[in-house]
Amino acid sequence: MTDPRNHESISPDLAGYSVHALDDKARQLVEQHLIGCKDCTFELEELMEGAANLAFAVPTVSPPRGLQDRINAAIDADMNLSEEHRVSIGHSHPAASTPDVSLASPVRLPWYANTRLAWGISSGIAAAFIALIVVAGVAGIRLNDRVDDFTAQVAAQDREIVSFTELLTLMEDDAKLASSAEAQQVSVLQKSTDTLEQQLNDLRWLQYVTSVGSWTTPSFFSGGLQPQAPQGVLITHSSGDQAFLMVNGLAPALPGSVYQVWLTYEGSMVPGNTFTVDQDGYAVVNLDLTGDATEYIGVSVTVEPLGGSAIPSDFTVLIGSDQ
Amino acid sequence: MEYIEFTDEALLAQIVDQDRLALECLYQRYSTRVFSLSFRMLSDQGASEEVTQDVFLNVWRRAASYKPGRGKFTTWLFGIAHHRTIDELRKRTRGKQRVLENVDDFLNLQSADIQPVDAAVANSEYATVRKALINLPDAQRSVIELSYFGGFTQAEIALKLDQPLGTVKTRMRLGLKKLRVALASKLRTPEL
Repeated sequence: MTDPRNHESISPDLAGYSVHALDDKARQLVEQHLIGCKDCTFELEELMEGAANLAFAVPTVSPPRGLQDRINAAIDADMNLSEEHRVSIGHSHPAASTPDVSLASPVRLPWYANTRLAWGISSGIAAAFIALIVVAGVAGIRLNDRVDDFTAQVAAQDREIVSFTELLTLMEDDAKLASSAEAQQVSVLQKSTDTLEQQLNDLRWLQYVTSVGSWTTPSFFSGGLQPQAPQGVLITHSSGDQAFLMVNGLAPALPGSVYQVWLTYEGSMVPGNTFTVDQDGYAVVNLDLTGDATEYIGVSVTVEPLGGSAIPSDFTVLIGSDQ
Repeated sequence: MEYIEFTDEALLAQIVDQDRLALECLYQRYSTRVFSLSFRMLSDQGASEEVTQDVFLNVWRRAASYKPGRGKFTTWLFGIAHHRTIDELRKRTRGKQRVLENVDDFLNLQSADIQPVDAAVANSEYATVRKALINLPDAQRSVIELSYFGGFTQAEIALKLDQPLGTVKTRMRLGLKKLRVALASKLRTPEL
């Protein structure tokens, strides 16, 4: 297996990375290597500049005139969502109310910009759906896919538990009259059901983070040279007591290092928890706040030695501020 | 000072402060390029419109993530546009056998609905980049076009061209570096 610390084995892949021509595994290795290699970072910038020239190599075709209106409408919707979030956490946001863009024609809104879908439904399962839309609209398609995956898993496991429970009830009834062997089988099934319920509870915890109305996702984070590279969403509770950072697409930290969260309060960087990511670069980090979550003005993620640091290193992989 | 006189980077700084007019100015400068690139790769007007919309929404939302010291604005913008288009292209072709198309086809597409002045500038840029591409060795040009416009991965190109993967990597790297050197300072800063 290629070692991400090995410069000679990684640098030949930089060209492929610059034109998005690597498979996922090779891409992750490059991103992991780039965190600590300034030479490769510099070369990648050159290669990306060479690649960007290719955009001029195609004949020009103008986009339809209505497209700009659609973009304006999507931004309007985006800012309305942001405004509603801020109202919910007790903030005002003057900039959000300034645009005055009239729409010359009926527009086709992107799915995440449809405020009726996003805010017009108010209870039960619909509330979870709304929050999923909000998270996806802010965080981009990768986190959306992630949340969708979990939602699908929850639904599938719910169905599985129902059928297990029904089966179990039948077998328990039968077991009263059955042999000891059958009773043992019922016991095994009971254990399986318990395991499934535990897994379901774990999934529900994630869904809780993304679906309860008083949670909000005011910030979008991005990092890396790839435009769609690591992403993150900060999820804060309206009480200000709790906040989570959900990240996706981060390369596994190098041996001997971890990721660490930093929150910025009025110019000072407050160290947060360290964390690692799974094989897909995904993690949900409890920020374990020392202050009010709604008062933060910036959050970033750096690479630090095991155990974390008191002062952030220069290796920032995600950075974002309240928008 | 009018926005039209602003550099791309200055406009982006305005966008960080949620200035809609600055975004509209960048849209006027680059939407045709973004749309054209996507249209060439997808051959689908509706999908290209969606990509263009996503790209400029990304500019709006993520302007603060652009680091001037890490390259030109156009490198950042077309990187976003290309990546978004590649995602769409691969989503459409996932699980399907893809054939190597004639990469020269893109030279023959007809332009439409474009203002004469813009067309003159665009054609000039087009000719400049095309000349730089033609000056590349065939083998280098081929792997670059297959990956950039065709959306093929290096491994797919190596398999289909029956060449070692290392050779494909080397040719792509050399070709992109030559393109950068050949076109440095030759393409316009369109708005100034």
